[in-house]
Amino acid sequence: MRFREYLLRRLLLFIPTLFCVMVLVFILSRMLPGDPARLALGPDAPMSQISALRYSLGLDKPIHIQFLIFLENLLHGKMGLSLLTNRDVCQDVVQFYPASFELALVSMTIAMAIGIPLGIVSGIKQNKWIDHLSRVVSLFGVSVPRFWLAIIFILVFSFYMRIMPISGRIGSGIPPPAHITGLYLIDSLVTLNIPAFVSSLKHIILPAISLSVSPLAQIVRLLRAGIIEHKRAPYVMMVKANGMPEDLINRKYLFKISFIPVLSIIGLLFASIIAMSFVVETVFSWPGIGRYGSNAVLYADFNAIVGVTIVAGVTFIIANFVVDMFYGYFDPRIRYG
Amino acid sequence: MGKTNYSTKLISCRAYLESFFRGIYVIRKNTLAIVGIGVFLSLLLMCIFAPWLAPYPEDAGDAIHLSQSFKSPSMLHILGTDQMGRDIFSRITFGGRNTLLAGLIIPLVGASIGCTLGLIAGYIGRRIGSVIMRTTDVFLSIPPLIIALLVIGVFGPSLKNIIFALSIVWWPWYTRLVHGEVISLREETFVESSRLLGAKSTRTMFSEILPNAIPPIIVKITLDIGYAILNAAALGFLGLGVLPPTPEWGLMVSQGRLYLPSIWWITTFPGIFIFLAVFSINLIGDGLRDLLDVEVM
Amino acid sequence: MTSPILSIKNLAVSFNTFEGEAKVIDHINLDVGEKETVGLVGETGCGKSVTLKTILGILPIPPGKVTNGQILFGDKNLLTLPTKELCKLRGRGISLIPQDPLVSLNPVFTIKAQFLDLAMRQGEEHVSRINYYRKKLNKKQTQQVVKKIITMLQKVQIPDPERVLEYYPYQLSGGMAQRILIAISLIGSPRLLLADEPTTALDVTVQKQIITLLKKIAEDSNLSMLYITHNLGVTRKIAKRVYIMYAGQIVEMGNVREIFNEPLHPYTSGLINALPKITREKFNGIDGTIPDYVHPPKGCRFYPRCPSADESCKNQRPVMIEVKENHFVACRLFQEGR
Repeated sequence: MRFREYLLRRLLLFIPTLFCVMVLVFILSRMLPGDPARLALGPDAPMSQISALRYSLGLDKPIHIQFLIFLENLLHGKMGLSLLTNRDVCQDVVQFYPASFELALVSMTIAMAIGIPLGIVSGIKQNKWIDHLSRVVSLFGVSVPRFWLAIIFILVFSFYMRIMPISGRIGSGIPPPAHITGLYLIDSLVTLNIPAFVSSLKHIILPAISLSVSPLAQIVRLLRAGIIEHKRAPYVMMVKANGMPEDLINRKYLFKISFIPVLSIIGLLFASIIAMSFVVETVFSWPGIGRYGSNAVLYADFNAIVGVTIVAGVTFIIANFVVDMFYGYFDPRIRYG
Repeated sequence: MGKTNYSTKLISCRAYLESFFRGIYVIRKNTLAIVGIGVFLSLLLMCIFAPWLAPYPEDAGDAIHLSQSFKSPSMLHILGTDQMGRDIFSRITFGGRNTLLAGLIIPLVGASIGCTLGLIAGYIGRRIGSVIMRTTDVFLSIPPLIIALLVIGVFGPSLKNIIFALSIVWWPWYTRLVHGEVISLREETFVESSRLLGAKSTRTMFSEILPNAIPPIIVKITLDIGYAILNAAALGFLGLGVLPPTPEWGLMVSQGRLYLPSIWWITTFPGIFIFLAVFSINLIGDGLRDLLDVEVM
Repeated sequence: MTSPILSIKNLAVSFNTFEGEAKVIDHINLDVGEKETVGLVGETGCGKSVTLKTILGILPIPPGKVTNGQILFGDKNLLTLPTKELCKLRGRGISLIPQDPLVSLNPVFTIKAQFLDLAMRQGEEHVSRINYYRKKLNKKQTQQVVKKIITMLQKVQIPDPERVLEYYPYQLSGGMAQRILIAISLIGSPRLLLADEPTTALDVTVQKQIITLLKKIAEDSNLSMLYITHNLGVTRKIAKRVYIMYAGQIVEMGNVREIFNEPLHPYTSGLINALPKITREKFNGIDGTIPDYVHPPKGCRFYPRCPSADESCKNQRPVMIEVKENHFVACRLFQEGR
């Protein structure tokens, strides 16, 4: 099967990209002003301690050796101490990442569940009222500042209507579900912990919606453009002229070919949600990697910044890889080309 | 020979005029784009003439009128006052200078870097070209905002650093576009002939190849102004931009958060202005996209 | 001539464009008889394809608009037929062989997927999701349709049809793709085949094979066919009767052989002179281009390019006149005698 070859080729591309990202992060992290050893020990530390630390951190070695040490530490899950939590950054990442991942997953689900039907209808009923509506929605979606939308949501749904919680992942009185995947929604469902499920669902809705507006808008736009492009295409005309029912054409044939470009940006969108979550997580005090990262930048916690960058970059690359797989499955031209 | 030349010129001139009128026709039909231009220009003018427009210009700084603090919108302060008693509208007019400046500079710098790199990669060398393109791929494979945060983390928070950080992560898209355009055009007859006629490679690049890539670049820059405003405001909101007494829209939204829900106006109005700016620039971008007939994400 | 199966009466179609209303089809009359193959010849952009799309009801409206006329298929007027009835006719009464075979199959589906869905669902106006999967999961029924498809593919001389069905369109050659499209158009056993330049995009040798195939199929299954092309030479091989179209108007109609030997309309003569011939070295085209459809010439639309035009052509539109038996022409030159 050729599909396997395609996968292998993608996988081989995946490794150098990952490597290059590591190089980039390493270079940027070594551009830090000042001596990392002095920063770690404070201004009053004696010279002998500093050089001892420099030696143990490998800072006295040539730069490419330092890079290898950096990679080796990474493999062993050592990213250095975080100033904020006083733990190894790796531990922090493991703790905070699932919350962000869950948030991104839910936002993407919302964006796709609304964006795909809206995009299709909008493309098929071009220039009808539903099309105008969806264009306004998508224009609104790419134009509204997420942090502000998040605040307005809190103002309306939490303060005035009092139907949604203000912050956090789960109600304060409710113990979090047993740790299985780290995603509260899944963990609570698996353990049949209904109160925890309801509470975490309520907590995730507002942040997820504020994060989903922009990807939603982009999905609608791209799908609409695709449908409009393909609905006059010769292969659509041919089946239509020879008697295939129009709703079958729209649902199956027009949809699949228009969906391919959407698929290719879904990975990008997923990863950009992780990046966008910096502000939204801050607003909702969502205990995720985004809030951790923005605090790290604010308090100049360099090890944490590097850690967050690596995690976000890796997420991005993996998301793109997964999308590439689907892409090859969907579009035979890519697979064999 | 000379006669033919003249008539071709005439024809191309006519075609040019025709496409110009067609453009006006498309724009005129596209009322939304006109509205966008109107709104964005007024916002821009409002910020440029802030010192004359603002009812309380001194409030843009660290003025304190505690007796006036937390006044809700009224005739005296149309958008209300903040915790220091400063007029929100005055601060918005001055704050927009920072936000919009960042939004305008970032895509322009990004596009110039990106286009130059793309031209170099596509036209000059195979080896240099592939190095540039691999680097582009790497940059494209990390979310820009993350790299920007890393850069700001390294150089410290300030508006200058926001502009710098976002500018240097903004180029990869343009590089890829221009590179693709150059590769496909390099072998075309008109480029080939200009080379055969002895035109220098730089000349060929700028006079023959770049113009073909311009429509998508224009549309992308327009749309990117919106994204840049949003990102700059988001970084400002996180406190990574200008330092407090100076106003900036994102920062103002974040400052008002402390006084929610009763003092809603400090947060709401700057946000509406960000939205208006981005919304109007997107209307313009959409109109341009229809006008120039290019598909750009 | 046998009684017509398709009869176009006074059809006029226009498009709304930036410049104004483009009158693309200007009151044409056209008949296709039972078991007859009729050619429709004209330059690119003269309105041939628009005519086809109007017949099938797949003209994009707007910007297109039918401003006048009737299209009779049997005794039904296709222009006023309710959608449900029209859906029953597409593929089963009238079917289409498209222009460019390589882009007329959906690139992201296998041949089997497209062919099977079409064959199973032809003639229905709506298909609900449940109904669709129920029928598709019915193994016996599906098997039957696949068998029918394979027979049809054999009929259009596709080698190894089972394997070809699993292919994606880009794995096919132009000739193969066109054979498959012919099979698709035949699967509903229609009575009228509309062929839209089916050989233009193909190599000359493949062209010949396809034409022979089409001719054989039309004869074997008693099909009527409207064969559209810009190549007058091709019509000679397949059609008996031919319509010459210029800028949205029919200018001449008659027996192919007669038109070749004795073209009446100056445009037809021009077309025939433009055909490459072994005995002639010089290549004679017709000067000028197709007129502006928004502001077409008031009289004869060919007038600005016509070698034998005079003042009266400018303002008076010529009508179709039977000059000889079954040989009609719309030109001033032949009107004066009457």
